[in-house]
Amino acid sequence: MSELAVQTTDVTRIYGSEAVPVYALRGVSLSIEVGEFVSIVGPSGSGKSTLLHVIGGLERPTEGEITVGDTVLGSCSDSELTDVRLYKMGFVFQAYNLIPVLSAVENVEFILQLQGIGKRERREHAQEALRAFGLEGLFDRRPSEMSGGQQQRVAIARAVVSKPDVLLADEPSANLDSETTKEFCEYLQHANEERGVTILTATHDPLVMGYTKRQIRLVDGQIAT
Amino acid sequence: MYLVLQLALRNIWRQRRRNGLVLFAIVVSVGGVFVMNSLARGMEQDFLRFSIENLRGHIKILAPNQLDEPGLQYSIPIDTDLSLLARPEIESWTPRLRSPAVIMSERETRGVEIIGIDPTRESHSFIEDLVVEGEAITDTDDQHLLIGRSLADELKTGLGRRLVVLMTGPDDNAIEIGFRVLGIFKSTTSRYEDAYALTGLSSLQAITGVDGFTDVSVYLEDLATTSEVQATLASQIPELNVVTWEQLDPFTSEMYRFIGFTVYILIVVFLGTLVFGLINALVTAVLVRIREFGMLRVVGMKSRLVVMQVVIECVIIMLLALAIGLAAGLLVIWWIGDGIDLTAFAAGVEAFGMGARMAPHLVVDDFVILGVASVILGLIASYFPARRVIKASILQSLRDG
Repeated sequence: MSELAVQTTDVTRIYGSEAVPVYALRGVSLSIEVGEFVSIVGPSGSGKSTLLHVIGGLERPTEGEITVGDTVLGSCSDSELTDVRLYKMGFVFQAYNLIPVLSAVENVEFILQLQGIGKRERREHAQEALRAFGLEGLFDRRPSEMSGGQQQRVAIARAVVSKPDVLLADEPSANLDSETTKEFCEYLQHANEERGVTILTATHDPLVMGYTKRQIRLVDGQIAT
Repeated sequence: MYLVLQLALRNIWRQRRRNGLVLFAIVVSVGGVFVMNSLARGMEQDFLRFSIENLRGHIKILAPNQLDEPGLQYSIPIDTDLSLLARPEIESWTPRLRSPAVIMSERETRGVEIIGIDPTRESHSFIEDLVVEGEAITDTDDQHLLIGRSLADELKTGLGRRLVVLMTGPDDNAIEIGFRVLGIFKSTTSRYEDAYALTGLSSLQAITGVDGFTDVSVYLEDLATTSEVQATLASQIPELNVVTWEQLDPFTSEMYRFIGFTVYILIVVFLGTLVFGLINALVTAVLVRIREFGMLRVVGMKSRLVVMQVVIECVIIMLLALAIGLAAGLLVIWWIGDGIDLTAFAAGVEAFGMGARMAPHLVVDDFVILGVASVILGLIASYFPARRVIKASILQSLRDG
């Protein structure tokens, strides 16, 4: 039996008040194996992003259990969740979310710096990651000096540079044109196949779905059969 | 730490316009408080100087009853052993013979105090700084009279003219003496010019038949030793009155204390106002970057590092502004070093116990207190924006940014 990268068991997330509860997730149970490239698809409001957020430890589920690798997120303190995100996860967002005052290479280095890796080693890793995503020559550019596609590639380089167990991508192609999306998906595929990174992406872009090996469909906060 | 410092410095530079305005506001406040404090300290010193140099000294030894009934009836015998004044705390001392008197020219009459002085011992009183037209008093045997310009004008008299001085002698009989005005002095304040007529000590003793002095002014090396020296002298010469300048001049003493207190009130009020402005500016500066802070937390930056980044940004701005503010304050103090001319209000400020120039006076303790208080306020001010960053959940930060 394959090793699991992510497992959710009966995960429910309720917003709103007790009197008027709004269910974002209703008893979602899923397993993602190590090395999988999975997309979570579904219409707007189906709970895709919420599912990614609870798996990423950005918010806690109202009920249910989430395991990333061998870590049960429910038993982690906020500080431990921060460590889980730092050492086990990588994030790619729709809005790139790079640090505006840092150059491309510094943005990628940032994660390694937080992990306490020495200057020379982290610089080598960061440059290598940027080269792998076709950003040779843009090391010293600030985010404001790069295109959307380039920024998103820096974001993937940053997400994978520390070799995380899981890469979570929330609508990563929403701000990209189709050509750039295709290029971006190829880099995700590269990260998955060449670097062995498990990727879980929330999307409703068919182009992105086409690159993933498995699709999990969410409707009204539940996995559609 | 280097990471946080790097981010803080770059973010300060990134928002240089906003931070520049905050910096400017702090510079003006710190520099303003610094200059105001120095002027207040200058006033404080002025009050003290005026009180001490106005023939009081830090400590005064008086003949019994002189406090209640000043005049020639009560005096310290000339053979009193004053060798006890040879103490390391005492810089100098000077004996005087003083009496209330009526002074008359051929046209006007005024009330004054006639004082017999030893000019060689008057280095700490206002007499040392007099600008004399004609002949100064240079010896205790000098018999001529030195009066102030204001008094001379009021008496409508001048150099070489004769005046008659009328006073009560040691035996309660009236003494009437004729003096020739050989010197007219100008002083830093018209108070001295109106109030005193000076002559040689030995000369006045001979004329009045008083074989002694009415008082001895004692000048100390250090103001702080006043009470201690006064107590010692009082125990050594119990037959005489030994009093401090504060006992002789309670109004000035209170003003002196009040200004010392006011300096700290000024610091609290100015910096208190500043901190509210600072918090407001910093909270706004942080709110526009709330998404960025959320993202830093997403990728694994611990909350305490995020807080540290906000605090470091605030403290750097505060330290920079403090340095510039203090330097600007020093520049202004240097510029107005000779004092602000208050001649236009001379009558008012002199009545208040101040000179006609308001000069700044630097006190190192104030400098340090202002610096330390500013840094502490910077830390306090940074707490609120930092708390805003941490209080918001990560997702809320990402959504609100």
